Formats: sequence, structure tokens, C-alpha cells
Amino acid sequence: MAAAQAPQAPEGGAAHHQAIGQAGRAAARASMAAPILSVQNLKTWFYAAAGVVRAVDGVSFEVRENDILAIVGESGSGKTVTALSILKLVPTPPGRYVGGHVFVDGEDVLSQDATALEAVRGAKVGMIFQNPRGSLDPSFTIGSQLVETIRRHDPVANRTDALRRAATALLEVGFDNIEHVLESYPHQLSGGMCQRVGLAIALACRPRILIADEPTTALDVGVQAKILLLLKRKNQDLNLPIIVITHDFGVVRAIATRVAVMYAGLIQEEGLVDAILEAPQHPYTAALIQSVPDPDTDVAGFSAIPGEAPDPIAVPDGCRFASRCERVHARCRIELPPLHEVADGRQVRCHLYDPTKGNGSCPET
Amino acid sequence: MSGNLIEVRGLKKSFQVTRGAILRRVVGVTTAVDNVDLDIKEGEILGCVGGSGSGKSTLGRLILRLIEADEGRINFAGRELTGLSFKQMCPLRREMQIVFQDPLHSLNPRRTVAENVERPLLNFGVPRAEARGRMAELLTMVGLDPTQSHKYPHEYSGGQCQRIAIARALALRPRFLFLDEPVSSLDVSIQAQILKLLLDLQQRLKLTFLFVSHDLKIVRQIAHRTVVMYRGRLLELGDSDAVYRSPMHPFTKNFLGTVLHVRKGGRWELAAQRAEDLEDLNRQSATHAAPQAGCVYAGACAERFLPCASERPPLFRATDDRWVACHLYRPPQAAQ
Repeated sequence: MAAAQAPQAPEGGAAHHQAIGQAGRAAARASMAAPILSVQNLKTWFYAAAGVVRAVDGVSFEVRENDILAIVGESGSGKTVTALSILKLVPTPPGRYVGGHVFVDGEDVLSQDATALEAVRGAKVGMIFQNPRGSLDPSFTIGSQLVETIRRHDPVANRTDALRRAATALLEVGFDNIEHVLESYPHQLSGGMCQRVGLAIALACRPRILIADEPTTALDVGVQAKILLLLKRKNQDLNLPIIVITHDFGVVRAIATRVAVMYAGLIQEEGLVDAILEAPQHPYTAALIQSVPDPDTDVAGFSAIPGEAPDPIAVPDGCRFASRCERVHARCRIELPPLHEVADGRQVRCHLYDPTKGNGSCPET
Repeated sequence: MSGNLIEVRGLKKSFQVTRGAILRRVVGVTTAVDNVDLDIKEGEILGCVGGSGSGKSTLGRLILRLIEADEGRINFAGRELTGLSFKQMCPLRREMQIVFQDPLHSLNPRRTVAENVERPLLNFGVPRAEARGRMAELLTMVGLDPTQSHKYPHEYSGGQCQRIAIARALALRPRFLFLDEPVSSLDVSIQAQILKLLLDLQQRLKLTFLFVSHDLKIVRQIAHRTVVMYRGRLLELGDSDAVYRSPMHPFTKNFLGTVLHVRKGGRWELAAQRAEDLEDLNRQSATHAAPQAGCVYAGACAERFLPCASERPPLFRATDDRWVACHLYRPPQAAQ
């Protein structure tokens, strides 16, 4: 159809292009390959002495090629437990995978035993952590840690081969004094350099997907920007989907394509980054974005969210944000809202967007 | 005195860099604070920003005399602090207090919240009953419930612990508070609550703050004036808004560029790219150690020219209330 219309007058060009763009997107969506990662109704609970902590309580999302999905939330929202669950890394006990599935490349991770998991951890799903120096072993050189990882996942690699691959891995994350870095111990490198090494180790196994848990939180502003730039480049050059766990909307805007906002163990809003940052729909998302100091507008005080997150052991029956929400209604305290699809690929867990009651209107009427 | 609560002149502090756990051979010296002159006005919030290792925390600790300066003078409310003995310092300590970054670790975990807040009062001889009353008053002031003060710090959240730490710092009715990254370890929604509280207390109690942070966005919002530090030197000082809107020092410009914005159209990518290019450029020529002479930022500066490598620029007065340590802003009459 596009080919038949191609030799048209230039006036129609723009509209025509738009039409193709829309049709193309729709076609792309329909024919999109299976997601690389699919998390379905994941529930990871912790059985503590004081009670059951429902850290992740029914989380679903998918990650496809080229995606950079940001999972945003405050501490205790369950974002890190979600990430650890993808690798089945949550310590059990006290943790327990109560329900749901995690499919990596079509394989159900949560049903696999320790041996099978070795083929997933590192090899299929790479991970980098918040504290770059703490995630490296202080008593071994960078070189030996890289070589160990490479040989662990590829037993045929002999030491020389592995060392060569280690050097390449360091080169790919922007080091130029490779020999020096290979012989260094973690404490001899700066925080930013350690994070690069962490990334090099993660990428050395050619994972299908990378999880970055607060990759820049412990770093200086300038270094932070450099690491984010590196992650973005890796995403583009290697077609590597990335999940970034963060509490910083600046990081979300900088690199993510999609964002899922978590609160008290549940995704509250999910969609494309621009759409959500520009026009947040869930009252929590809106309040959270509001509480980030905005340097470009005039100072008009702070908009803080009053109160604190609910006790994770005694989560309320209704909406988990109800106690802090400005737009709370009677229904919110009784009934947990489901995720309402408000636009293409955008979901909001809020009664205000219940389609049977009309969008944005008061759900009580 | 012209309304300055604190006047710092020629302050200098270096630390020895040692190697080895037992012998601790001295392998070098880092200058954490290098020849700093700074006035903090009575009743203002002075923000201090810089990367890690820029000396901003050391500066605050020097002013409180928690660590001893190598050189320089500190004047607090008309009194010379340098040279005072421990005993002479004691009465002055009531007037200057500190709030740390990590609230949970700065409170005594084995003492209840009440005991934590009362401690400074008891240290200074306030009778126990009176201290108890003041403690309740302080907790109410920071938005906590005094009837829960028998609990231990770990039973409170990070934001609440920071409130407790603020209450403790205010117990002795100080005039000056050194806030060392007070919200950096807190969640965004809680950060805003604490900043609101600090701002409110500052106005109500007419306090003077030195607010250290690596987050320019926060400093811009809370501080009246901002000072930018790099490798122990003050590079720029001025009205927070002005420094933010029109940075003058090349370092400040770059530092601001790498700030991540929530709004669309941030320049961080460009700034990060430029920083990388400059690093590549400098890697061949310079070592990473701070230069002995010349501007501390010369090695990474995109706008450096001849004098930068040889001559260390002092703070030049660029506009009425803006001071910039950069040869680009050398006033014409001072040239030569």
C-alpha cells in the first residue's frame, strides 16, 4: 500500500508520512517479537517474625528489544525485590515466591533449580548493583574477577582467551589504560570506574537483558551522567534491553523509554516516559514528580507528600496510597483498584480512571 | 562585623595519604580545603556544592572545629575560634551544631529517642526534669509525637530519624547549624518534607545554616547564596538563583550541565560527552594529581588559556555579588 502511494504529489507527503508512521507502528506492535522478559503477576513475600511482608504483590510487565524500562519507587516499594526475583536471587527463607512467573526468553525462571539457574544468571540476565565497589571482591584484581566470570560461563575459554576477552570487555566500557585496570584492585579505582568494571563483567557474558539496580545513586553528578551515557549506548549498539531500578526521575528522563512507578509492592502507573512525566495520571506519580525540586521554575516552596508509606506488614485493603492521597474517596479505602488501561500501552491503578465511571471523574457518583 | 556570623580566612587543611595497614607509609598529601576565605551572614542559608572529595564536608567540620585546621582563622560571632582550648570551646559548642547525612547512624541505637534528644541538654547541665520537658517540646517542633519517645531509633523510618537528629541539634538553641547532606539518603517525597521543616525552623528560630550537598537542585531551592567547591578551592560564590541561572566559572557551567532534569530538554548528554572528550584530551598531557600551580580546574577546563596553568586565580569580583575564581573574570585594573 505504501509503495502504490509513493509517487504522489509532495503536498500529500507529510500527511502521507504520518499515515505510514502510524500504520508502521501498529504493524510493528502486532508483529513484535516475543518479549525477552515477561514478568506475570509476580508475588514475592517475606515471612518475618512480625508478620508477612508483601514486598512484591502482583507485578506484571514485559521488556522487549531496545526497551529501557525504568522501575521507579521509593525505598520499600518493592522495586529491588522485583529485580532480584527476576534472577531468583531473593533469599528463601525469609522470602518466598508466592505466585506468578518470570519468563526470560520463554523459560520460566522461578521453576528452575540451582543448576539450571546458572545458565540464566549472568549468562542471560546480567546485573549491576548500586554500590559498585561493594559488588566487586576486594581481594582479587579486576582482571581475575573478569576472567573468572568469563570462564565460569564459557568453560572452553582458556586463560589467555579469557584474558583477551576481559581486555575487550574493559575496552567496550570506555577504559583505555586496560593493562593498568586489569591489575588493579577495586579500592584503587574510583566509584565510577568500579561501576564501569561492573558493567564490563555483566556484558562480558553477552546477556540478553541487563538489570541495573540504582546504577548511579552512589556516584557524583558528572560521573553519573557518563555512566548513563554508557548504558544508553550499550542499549543502542547491542540491542540490549535494560531495566533500570531508580528513585530518581532525572535518571528516568535521561535514559528510559518506558517507566513503571511502584508503590507498596504494586505498579501504580506504567507507560511511555514522556507521557508519564509530562502528564502523570496517578495521584502518587503526580505527587512524586512534584516533590522533585525543579531547578528551572521559580522557587515556590516544596510540595512534599504528607505522611509515610504504609506499614508493609499491614497493608491497607483498598488503594495502598489512599492514606496519603489528595483525591481519595470512600471507594479507595475499601477496594484495591486494578490497573486501568487509559491509553495505548498506558496503565493506571486508580479508581479515578475506572472506564465504567468515566475518566477522571469522581468514582462515587 | 556587618552581620557576618562566621568569618573564615585562609583556611587550610590537608590529609596524609597512607599506604599499608600497619606501617602506614605516607605516600602523599591531599589538600582537602585550600586557602578558603568565606563569610556566612547571620540568618542566611549558605549552600555549598561540589563533587565528592571537593572538601565541602571538611570545610564545615573545620568551622565547627571538629577537626583542626592546618592554617587560617575562624571567627564565630566576633570570637576567634582558632587557638581556643577544648574547655574554652565548650560553651561555644552550644551555639553551633551539626546534622549528619545518615540519620540512623548518627543516633545512638542503644538509647531511646528521648535519651538521644536529651543528651546534649544533660551534657550542659540542664536538670533532668527540665530536659525531659524540652525534649517533648523539641520533638513536637520537628513534627513527631513525644509520647512515642520511649522507642528506639531503629523503630523509626529514615525521615523520622532525621527529624530526631534535627531536634537533637536544636536542643541547645544554637545559632548555627552545619547540615552535612541532610537529605541525601532520604526518599524524594521525604526529602521535600525535611527541607520544608528545615526552612521553617530556620525562619522561625532565626538560624544560620551551612547546607552542604552534592545536589544542586536542592541547594538552589533552599539556599540564599551558593558556593561551589572543587578540589578544596572555592570557585564561585553568589546568589543561589544567579549562580544557577547564569553560572560563570567553567566548572560550574559543566557541573550544572550534567544535572539530570525531570523536564524534557536536559543537556546532560552533551555535558557528559564533552566531559569525556576533555578527559581524553587531558589524559595525554596531564596526570590526575592536583596541579601545584595554576587553577585547580585547568586540567579539565574547556576555556583555559595561558595564565591558567601557571597562576592560581583568586576569587575575582565578577558582578556586585558574584565572586569567581577564574582568570576569565580578572578585572581590567587588576591585570598584569
